[in-house]
Amino acid sequence: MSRAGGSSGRRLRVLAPAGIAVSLAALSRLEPSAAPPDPACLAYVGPGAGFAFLGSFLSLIAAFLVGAASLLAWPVRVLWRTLSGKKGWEHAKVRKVIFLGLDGYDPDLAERFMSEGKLPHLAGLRDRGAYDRLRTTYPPLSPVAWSTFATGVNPAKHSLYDFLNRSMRTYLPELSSSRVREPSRFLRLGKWRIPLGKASVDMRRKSRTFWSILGDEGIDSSILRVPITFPPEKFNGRLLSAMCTPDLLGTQGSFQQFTTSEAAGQFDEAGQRRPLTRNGKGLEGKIEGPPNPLLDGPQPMTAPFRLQLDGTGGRLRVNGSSYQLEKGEYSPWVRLTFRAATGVKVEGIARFLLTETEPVVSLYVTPINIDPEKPALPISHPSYYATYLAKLQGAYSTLGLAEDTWALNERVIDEKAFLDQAYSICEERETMFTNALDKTKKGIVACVFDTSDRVQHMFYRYLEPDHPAHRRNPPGDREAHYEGVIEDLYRRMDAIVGKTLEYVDEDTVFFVLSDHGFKSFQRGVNLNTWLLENGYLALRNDAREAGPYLQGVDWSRTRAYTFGLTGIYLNRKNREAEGTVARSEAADLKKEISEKLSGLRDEERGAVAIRKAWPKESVYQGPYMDVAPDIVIGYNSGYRSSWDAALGKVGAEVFQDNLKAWSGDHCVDPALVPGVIFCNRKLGRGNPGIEDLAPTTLGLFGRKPPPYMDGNDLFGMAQP
Amino acid sequence: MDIFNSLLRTLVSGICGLGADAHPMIGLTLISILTGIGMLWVFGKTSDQEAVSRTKKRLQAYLLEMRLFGDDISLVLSAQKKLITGNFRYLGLMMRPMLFLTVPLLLLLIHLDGFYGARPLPIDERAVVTLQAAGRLEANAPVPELLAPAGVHIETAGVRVMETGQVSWRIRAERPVEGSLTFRQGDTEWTKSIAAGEPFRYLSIRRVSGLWDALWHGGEDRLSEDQVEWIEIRYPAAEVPFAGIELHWLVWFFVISMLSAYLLRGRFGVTF
Repeated sequence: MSRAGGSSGRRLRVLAPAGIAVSLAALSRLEPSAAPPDPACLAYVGPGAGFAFLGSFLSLIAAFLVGAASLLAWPVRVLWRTLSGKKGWEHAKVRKVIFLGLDGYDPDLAERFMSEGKLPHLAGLRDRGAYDRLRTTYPPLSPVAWSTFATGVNPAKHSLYDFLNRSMRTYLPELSSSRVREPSRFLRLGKWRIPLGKASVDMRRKSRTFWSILGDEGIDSSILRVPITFPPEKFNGRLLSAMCTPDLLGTQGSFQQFTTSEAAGQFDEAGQRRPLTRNGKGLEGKIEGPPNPLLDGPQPMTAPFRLQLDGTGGRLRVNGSSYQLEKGEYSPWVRLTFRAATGVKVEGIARFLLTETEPVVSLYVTPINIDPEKPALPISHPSYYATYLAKLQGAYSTLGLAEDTWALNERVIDEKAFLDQAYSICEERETMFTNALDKTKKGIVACVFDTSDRVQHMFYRYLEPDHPAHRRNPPGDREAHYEGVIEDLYRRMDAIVGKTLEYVDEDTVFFVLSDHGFKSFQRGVNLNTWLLENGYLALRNDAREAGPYLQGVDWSRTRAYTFGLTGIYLNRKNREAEGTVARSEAADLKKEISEKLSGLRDEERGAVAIRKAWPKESVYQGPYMDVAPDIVIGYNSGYRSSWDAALGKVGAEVFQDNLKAWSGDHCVDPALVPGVIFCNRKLGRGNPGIEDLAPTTLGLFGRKPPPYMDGNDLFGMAQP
Repeated sequence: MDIFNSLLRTLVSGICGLGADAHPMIGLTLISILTGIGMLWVFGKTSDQEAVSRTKKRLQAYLLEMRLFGDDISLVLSAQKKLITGNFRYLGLMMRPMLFLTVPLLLLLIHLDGFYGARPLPIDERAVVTLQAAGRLEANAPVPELLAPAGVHIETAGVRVMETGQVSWRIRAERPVEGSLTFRQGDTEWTKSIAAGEPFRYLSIRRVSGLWDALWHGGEDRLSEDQVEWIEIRYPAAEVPFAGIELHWLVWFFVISMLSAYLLRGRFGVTF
């Protein structure tokens, strides 16, 4: 009997997973031996490490299988493409087209900074290729303009005119770009209701995107955060949704503020203020999540948290995890779990910011974003593209309007906190853009950065000492520090252009473009009040003011109304539920109101507030005219639809100072706020419009633009 | 070492003995779950959780990358390369917790094997008892005398193997027994525990005299005399039956401990 061979029958006869083999080897040392054990054999793999070994092993197998499948499938794919007639590359003039969208990048400012040598990469692009002002849409709003960019058609063909649309039945506003429908049938068990089916999300933008058209021809695209891509469309490529992607609460972004201050009231327009209560040595609160889908009525699910202050910060405990917070510094993205019932949960992500610690304690929580790693709603195509990006680069903001402008408007966060947030989101975007540039060797890469728009909205007041919102700031409130914010923004965007240029070769066409420019927003115009004063709108009981969402409007005596940012709607018979204006009267009424509004003066300022108002037929052409405002308003620089009018309120005055931090805007006459277009190649013609980019891209890949497209090929390369 | 082994024996016997009369899986399940929880806690405390999580997510991302960019062979191969190097990084992150876990778990496994690794001698089945002398046997020295407790029949006289210094006897259990074999040579006596009949219980397969050997064979206190290196009874190997399947206890142990750790990882906030 040998020393190592005793205990026969003790050999471990098990078919164990590979991961535990090392442990088995360790256990085999139980056989008689006086020799010291081999350290390698002692490597215990236990539960944690066991899964690690098993996981590694499985991932290697998966990698091998997927790799082998890809290699084997390659000739099949090529053959399929040939047989199915997809000859996308046959007439292509380029290998790759890159779109870098800088939302709201203003030509006046860009030209000024370029002339001062502050935007070297853009200036270089202009000098070597082309630069022009880019005609924008009526109205010059991001959802409208980017939809035109993607489809090459005017708004009457893609049906988006504003962020909001009105319900013809109820006059209530609804999101214009998408609609989430609950399941229609439920199984009711006591207090529970179990949905028998799935919620659905419908895209309301019409027409086809150029990446979808090219996808049919086998041309691949990576489309990142181009507005109005929620829900994501299915096409040959990858897409991450953007503007109008809701937060977990279903809103376009609702922050929550927790505070020990009892005097604090609720916010006017957005966000929720909730109590932070002392309990022992800590503070407690409950983050409100979406309504419980298994219960009737709006019963929100909550995620309780505890905050323990220490020195300059505090320890936050939520969902069993703990995070160190420093006053004035954002936490990383924190996963929040909301439990509907045992085993049924919804997850989102949010960031926390401790804004005050003494004597009042206040904690700001960003809107709860859909978790990109486990999306509760479809936010990408393929569905796992969002997951892929999250696993590669970490959690990122998924909310359509990601930068929390409302929190700064409501003074829940300060300018520094807003900028920190905005640039952090910008960095996330840059990381995913770089990844797309790395991975998309040929085809289209398009990415839109919104930071340029949001920062200008919130910091324009620092460019104008006489801006009402600027005057409202407390003296010495670090104002001087913020005067350079917009210039810094333009420089940062220029740096992104510089990095992108590293991916541009001779076979690549590179566009930098913006959907519109920017102007100051000093005065708001309440057109509902104007309509009331001019006899086109009436309130019940002859009231002079009315609340939001057109409450209190006497529809039987109302011929025109407004809400949103873009124009005036006639209260049309057989269109609106309580319409009063007959089809035969509409044209005259539109003409009458348009003429009265064109050149409307703000006597207090001695300035023209509205340059021109257009009957919709003069600016739109297409099948979705009914959705459009009947009269499109072209505000002058410095003016915009007032905050009250946008919400459908009727106020006491037509003109009001804008005192909010949101101090710059672009909802004016489109001629005042063109965007920019830079290209690394000379453009074939002048006066480019944002509707030209889709046909131009089709042309670059050798495809003839469909006849319904309004734009033209900027290079004139489309195949006859 | 004897005290340490005694404590571990008591612990393992206490937990594994629960319900052993009814079914060995009761105690095995219990100790597997407790081990899973314990190891999970240690793993959480000793590993770089942030790096583990990040690396694991990256590995998943590379797998998704192969699907997302399947048309581009160079990207697929690049993702494979990153996956392989990422795997090594991932395994590297396991080294620290493994260093902490190896010794305690190995000790636990040794003692669990004492409980589940072998069955007491079945009634009327034969077994070999071997005594290993510390040095070579002298040809003219007498064979040690073996004394068995009532119920154990010694079937053969001791057979010496001079080269290895071993003496072996064949014994047979006639009825359930829990007692000791006594080996006598002159005035010196050594004992070795013996068990026969059901149920599963803590068995000492080998009683040793060396300190290092006692680490691996902790079923009994060490032999006090140094003339004998060890005494061994070849108990039959055991398998644990459950739901109609008979498997080595280690398989059940790993399945249950890993499963419990996996299911409880969220509660402990541990990523692996």
